Amino acid sequence: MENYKTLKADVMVIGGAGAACRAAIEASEKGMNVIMIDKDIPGKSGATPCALWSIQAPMGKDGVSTEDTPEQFFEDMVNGGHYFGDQNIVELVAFTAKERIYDMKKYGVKFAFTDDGKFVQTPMPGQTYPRSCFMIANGTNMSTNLAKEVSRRENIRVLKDHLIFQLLTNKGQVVGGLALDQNEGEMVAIEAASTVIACGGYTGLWSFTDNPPTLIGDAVSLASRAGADLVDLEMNQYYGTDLVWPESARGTVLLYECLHESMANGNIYNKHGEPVFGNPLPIRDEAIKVIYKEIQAGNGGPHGGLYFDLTKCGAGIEKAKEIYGEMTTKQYRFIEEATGFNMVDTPLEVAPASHYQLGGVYINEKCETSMPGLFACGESAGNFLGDNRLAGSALCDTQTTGAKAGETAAAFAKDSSFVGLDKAQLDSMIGDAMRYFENKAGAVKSSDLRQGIREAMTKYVSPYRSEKGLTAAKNEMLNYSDDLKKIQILPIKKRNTGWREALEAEIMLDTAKLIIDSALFRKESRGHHFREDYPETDNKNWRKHTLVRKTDKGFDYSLKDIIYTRMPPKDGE
Amino acid sequence: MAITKVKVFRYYPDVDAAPYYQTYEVEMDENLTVLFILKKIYSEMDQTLAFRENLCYKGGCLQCLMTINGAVAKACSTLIKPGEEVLVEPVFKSPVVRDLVVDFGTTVTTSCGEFTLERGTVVTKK
Repeated sequence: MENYKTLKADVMVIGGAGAACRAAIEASEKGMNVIMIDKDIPGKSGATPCALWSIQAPMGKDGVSTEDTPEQFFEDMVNGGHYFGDQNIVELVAFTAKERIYDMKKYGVKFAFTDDGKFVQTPMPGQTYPRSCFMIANGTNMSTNLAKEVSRRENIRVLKDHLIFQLLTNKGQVVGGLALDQNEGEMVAIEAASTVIACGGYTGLWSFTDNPPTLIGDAVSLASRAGADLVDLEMNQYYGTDLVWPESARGTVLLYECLHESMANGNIYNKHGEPVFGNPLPIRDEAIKVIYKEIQAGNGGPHGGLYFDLTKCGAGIEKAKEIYGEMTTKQYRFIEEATGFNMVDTPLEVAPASHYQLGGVYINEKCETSMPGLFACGESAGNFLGDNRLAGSALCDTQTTGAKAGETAAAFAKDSSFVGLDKAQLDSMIGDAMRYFENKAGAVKSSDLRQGIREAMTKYVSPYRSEKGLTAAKNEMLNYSDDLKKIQILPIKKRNTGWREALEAEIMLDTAKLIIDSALFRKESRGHHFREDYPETDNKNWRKHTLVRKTDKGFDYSLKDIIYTRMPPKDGE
Repeated sequence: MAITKVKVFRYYPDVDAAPYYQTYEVEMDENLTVLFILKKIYSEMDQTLAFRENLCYKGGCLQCLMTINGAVAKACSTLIKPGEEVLVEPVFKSPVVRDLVVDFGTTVTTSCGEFTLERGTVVTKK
């Protein structure tokens, strides 16, 4: 008897949040039988439920920014990403965003409208016209309604609590994936003509993050093992003002943007009570550096952060409560419930935390990866945002690239027949996953290993990096790779957290090593990669992607040209 | 520093004849949420304890719904003081997979609505 179950679908979508739901809906729309598979519960998991209200799209006359156009959006994205994103994909995002907003509305996502029926659009830094459509009830509303739409479709089967930990390959293409059904403790092999990676980024690799702890690099690890190219993994975006203490709400975003002069008119303070910013407030990416340096200089509070002190804000305490209570309703309430403190009445310490990953799986404008049968979208995909990201882009990307990935995956499935699974590969992968039950002496706890990896990332792969720190990080990861072999897990079949942690530790180590080597490879500074030992931006030699490619000997790092379509950089820019 | 007594519902339907309760004595020097206390128990005291660890920082995803001191509540948003006693049980209307992990079943509830997940049956073209 086989020690695994087999399922078959035309298209398999890995993930359960914004990008995955959209890809699954599109493939379903094209008549495919789809499996959407998530390691937790679709509609609840991933980064989308954590998101705020902002999803940017040029709505033209349908929104309040009537003069806005896709062309302008394109230009803003290229400028915001410093000519570092592939413009064939930026075009996809800019020119389909509006339609995707209407799809969302159709699926039941609730937006704010003006009295005369136009989309409310709020301004965000880097937008020529206010472009962020306002989602009522934020990202949770978005992911709930997208998952609801998925659930309406008879040709999508949703598998929850299934951790895909390997992609299956045969005859040079991706032919499905291998999952651990956590609730049953069983292996499930899914054969699929097309596979879409839509399972988010790798922010959870850092111990201090504002993303769910589950987002530890599944996309990068799965794709890299299968042989697909990765790109710009060193472009790790931080958010400047995330709560460091109390522990229970550590990582919660305190919205920096609302400190703006026109809103709370506030500042961030060091332990001496001095404001750290001048007027006007710097854009958030500059702010991160100021905050980080101030903390490094020893001017942080007892928990290692600066004070988000709204008792001193220009607008006054009552107004600040109104602003934060309305713009970030759920976070405001969550902080109160989970810490007992009101974030306006009590100055709380904040610091930069891992927020978003600009790099990921290399794709083209059809969301194809370099491996036949494999597609990627959303935060999992890598090469279109550039070296920086505008606020409000993440959710827009999930829908634009998600729909495209679903469409392309459906077309691929339609035109191809099943290749079949490689039985020997499957047996070997299952054997590897089961071997953790055999370890005995010198056991390492999976939760300790995981925490160690995350702390090393926070310590060394920070907003400022150097060869020395990155090399130390690399050595730590090598030690953890040895520890991985010693992980001992308990003989429990169902809901064995240790087993999941061991499989996730493999994913984390794969991803961490590729990030560290990418960061070592790029000997210059730009965007969200700042090397203290190479502080200058070198457009001449380095305005190119960092490409990671699997070879027989390991992974090869090289530069790859950026694709320019409408807006090539001017000389010297 | 005070000892918080955390009484937890334990049940592995495949192995245990009946559910039982286990009390953990957790050292706490600040207020912590139930979710955080469970993470502490898991990593420092007992690796056999099963619960859903996700955190959305908004109290919105409801993956951490449990029965806390007799009422259904979000573990991420329920604060416990050092020295306080707390009773943690699963959401009883759903079948227990193990300990505090339940199978929420086909109906999924978030703070923004309810929907049914398991509809599709996979039939492939060939």
